[in-house]
Amino acid sequence: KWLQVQVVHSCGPLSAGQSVRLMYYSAQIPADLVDKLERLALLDFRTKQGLVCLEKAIRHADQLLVVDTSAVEPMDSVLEDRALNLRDDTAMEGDCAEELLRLSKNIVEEYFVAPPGKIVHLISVRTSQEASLPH
Amino acid sequence: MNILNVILKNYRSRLQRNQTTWPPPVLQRVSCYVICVNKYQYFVQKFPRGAPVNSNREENGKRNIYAPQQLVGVVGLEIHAQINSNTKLFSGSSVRFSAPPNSLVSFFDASLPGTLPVLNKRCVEAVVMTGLALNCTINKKSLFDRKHYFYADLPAGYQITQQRQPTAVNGRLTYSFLEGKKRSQVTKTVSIKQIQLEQDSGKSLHDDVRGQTLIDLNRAEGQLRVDANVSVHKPGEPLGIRTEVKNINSIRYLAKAIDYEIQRQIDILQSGGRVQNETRLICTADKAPLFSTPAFRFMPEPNLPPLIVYEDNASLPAGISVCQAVVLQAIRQELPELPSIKRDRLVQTYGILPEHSFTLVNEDGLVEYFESVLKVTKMEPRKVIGWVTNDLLGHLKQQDMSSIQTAQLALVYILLRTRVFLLAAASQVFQEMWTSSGKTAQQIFQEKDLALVTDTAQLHSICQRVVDSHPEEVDAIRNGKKKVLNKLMGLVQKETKGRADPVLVRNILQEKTS
Repeated sequence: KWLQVQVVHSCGPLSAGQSVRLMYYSAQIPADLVDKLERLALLDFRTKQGLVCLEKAIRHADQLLVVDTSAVEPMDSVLEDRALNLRDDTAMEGDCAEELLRLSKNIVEEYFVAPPGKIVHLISVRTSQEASLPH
Repeated sequence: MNILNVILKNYRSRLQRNQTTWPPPVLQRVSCYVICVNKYQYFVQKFPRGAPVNSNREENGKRNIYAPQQLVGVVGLEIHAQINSNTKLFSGSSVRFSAPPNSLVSFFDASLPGTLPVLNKRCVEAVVMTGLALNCTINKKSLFDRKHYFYADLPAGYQITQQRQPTAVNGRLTYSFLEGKKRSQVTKTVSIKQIQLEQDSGKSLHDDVRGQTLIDLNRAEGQLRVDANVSVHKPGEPLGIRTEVKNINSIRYLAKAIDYEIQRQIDILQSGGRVQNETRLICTADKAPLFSTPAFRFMPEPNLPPLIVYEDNASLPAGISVCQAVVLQAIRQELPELPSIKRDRLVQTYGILPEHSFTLVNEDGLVEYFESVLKVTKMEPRKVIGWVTNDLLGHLKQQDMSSIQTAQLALVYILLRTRVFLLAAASQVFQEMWTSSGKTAQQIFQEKDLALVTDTAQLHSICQRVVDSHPEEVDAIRNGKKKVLNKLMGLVQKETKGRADPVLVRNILQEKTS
């Protein structure tokens, strides 16, 4: 409810659909969705603070729904008015295996070494929570 | 499923032979991506348990005792083909087969921070050309996206691709194949959803012994990869849940895998189950599901502006030079003769069977060879085609296909010497050439004494011998069965080891049997 008030204050009246959407997100996010998000982003945030942070992030993004974008093409790149530079098909790079392999702690002959199979380690976000999302 | 074999066979054979004929961009280096969607009808004549359903009989007036389950398979193919270019799609490092691991890797390819993608002009030309060859609409403006997933051989954590707005859309491929015992020509069309540029991931080698994976970021795998998306539904109803079948490493298994998957899904649905949206890997007998289809979190690639392709030089804006732009008109002009047109032309011009036109077009260099034989010998195309498709190909298949070059030269020599094209002699020369290395066609020709026998006296005596020893055949010829003459000719040729001038022999025999 408090969110609704805030939005009306800044941007004008909401349509029925938009307000319903915002109200949904004040509820808890289902556990299997959290699971999926963790797997997709390789982040471990299943703490109380983590989930609160997630909720706030979603609400923050929801402000976009308030803007009337009918008949407006989305801008998906700030470079949209630039010309894309095309490169000539001539070899100019590469041949620096030694330099690259030196960056890795673990190499075998001239290969980088990775743990087998899919990466499953989740990176904990506990420390990065302080780096805040505005709310 | 032979249908798919025909389309994909062309790609594969050219890939193996490093060809630049059509399709021109399909080979090596960085991915170009095609989705074809086609529908196959599978009528499952499975009877429901219990009493047969008779209601149809009266309604339709047909003797339709059982109501078949009309589940139709829908197949979409994702084809990854590497573009024939010198450098990679987004970096200036070269692309080569069998280079030492990680030797063709630039800082960008290693996903080092601060590096940016720079698009390869040749790759754009390649994807546009493929689009034009496959009757697509070329999007003058196309966009790049990031497709995220985590895997050791993808150091950036994403692939740059063109999901939303690719370079080419809505194409179609019309193809023919020969069906059944009568080899009748069937023509079909498959629609192509889109063709897009896509980055390749690296190569990973799994070392199970030490429990580690070795990563090579060179990316020149040189393979044609096909993944099949399969679902089933009743016609008219929405499409069913699809599964993706990956890791198919031959065209033959592609057909089998699709058939298997369609049947598997039909069985599930008929027993009341639900098909899972998952990815299945082909591995021998079990086709166990591996992982559910991941969400790729597509987002626009922030480092690349939209790609613009121009219609002609006149439409280039100020400030863009021709060398910096990809122009459709220029690429259209570079398109070579497409296979179906070539095949039709061969059938029309030379009166050969469609079946033969397939053989000629499918083997590189064979059309040129065939045409040069015709030009020099002025022999009937149908005679030459028989030899080319049977004997010559038979020889070539045992050798490296590049032998067709040497075959070309040998042929020219033989023709100059004999002035009549002796196919049997040519076969002998080829045989010898490839078994005993080092000898030229000339040497073998002389050694085997393959020169034409034109000495009339000699021919007369041989013909006489044959005629004398085959009185029954001579009678048959005199009685009107002219075709029996061919048998006698064959015998004469056998005696002369195929070196007799056929025209002379025929005349002599006709004389003797009249």
